[in-house]
Amino acid sequence: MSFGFQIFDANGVLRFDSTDITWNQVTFYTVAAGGSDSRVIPELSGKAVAINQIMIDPPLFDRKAVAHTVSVNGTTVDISGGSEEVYIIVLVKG
Amino acid sequence: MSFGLTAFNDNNEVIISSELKNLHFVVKLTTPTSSTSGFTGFGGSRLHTYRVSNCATIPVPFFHMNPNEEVGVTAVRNVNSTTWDIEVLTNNITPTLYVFADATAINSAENFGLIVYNSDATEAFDSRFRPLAINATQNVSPPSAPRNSFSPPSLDPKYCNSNGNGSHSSGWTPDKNIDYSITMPAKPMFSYFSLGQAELEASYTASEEECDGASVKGNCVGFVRRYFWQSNYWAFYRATISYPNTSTLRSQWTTTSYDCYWQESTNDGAFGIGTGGSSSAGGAFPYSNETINLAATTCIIGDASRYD
Repeated sequence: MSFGFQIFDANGVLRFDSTDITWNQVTFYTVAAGGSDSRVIPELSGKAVAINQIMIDPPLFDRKAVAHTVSVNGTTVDISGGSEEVYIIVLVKG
Repeated sequence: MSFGLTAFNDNNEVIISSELKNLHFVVKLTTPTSSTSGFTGFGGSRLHTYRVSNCATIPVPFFHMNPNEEVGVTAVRNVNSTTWDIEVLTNNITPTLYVFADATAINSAENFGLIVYNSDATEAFDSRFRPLAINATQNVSPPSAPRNSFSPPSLDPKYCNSNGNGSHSSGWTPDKNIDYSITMPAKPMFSYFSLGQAELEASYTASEEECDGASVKGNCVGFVRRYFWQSNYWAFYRATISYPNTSTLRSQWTTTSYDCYWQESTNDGAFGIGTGGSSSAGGAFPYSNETINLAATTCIIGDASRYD
């Protein structure tokens, strides 16, 4: 490696360097069943965004579990319309 | 930026930032804490729960499985402030979980490495824990239905007598896929949260008449009993992913459960006059016959061998 950075552990094993790619977490929060959430997240500006929606207690078969609709407009993330309580994890890359 | 640290990779992407949080390796889990009994028909199904302890913030699970094995994370539950349950649907296999979280989740007594702090003094990056590095990202949608063609086979309309048999299984086994071409490492691990749900059902009916008197031109003269049976066979599915090879990521449906709901009714009569009837029912009924939550979700792919 002629430029960039490398980070090693105490045993000299490379842990992370500037050839790596990753997604970084900005925040996580919950949205209630039947609820909605809208928030501005400045860290999203200019980056690829991945919004992970994770159901907390979905049914195995005996209830219709509608996922929330997720939309990202600039730095605003809107979540609404779902019938289940969910975790939202916001990741960025770039 | 008036303080802190930003590190870029060779693609000029930010990979360490004092304004963000890197994900770090927390634990590798090869054995579930609990599992359903599972079944091999209907393409196979088993639901596992993996418990993550000593994790002060939400875990981001990755899973590794063998080629053609189907997996999706269906739920994450907070048990207490540092304990989480991760629910994973499979086609009756046991994947390995690699759990990641931001650096605030974990502690280390090691005194060697690099730590980057956010402005609130929480850790953004800590090289003492192996930071997450990824290989690829793919937006994944479930197929529009569990099967390419749903042509229910002949099943017994009485009392769900065919429930779970070979014909029920083969008629409801999911077979519709979407393949994505993507380059993966030799031992890939996937972060994929399943949202898609689907259900297929079919109804079968039968009727019989018992006449204790004489039959005149097809009509019973005397005492008559008329029986009617209906059985609704079904299977319920969640979206999962698999990989036939390290160049192909596959989206498909995996069965979570199957069952049947039946009804029986009887009408009695004498000389053309109704004298009463009865009905009974049993079994389990699913929510509805539809496919929902087909919006694409993000699948992140990393190299599991880096965290073994």
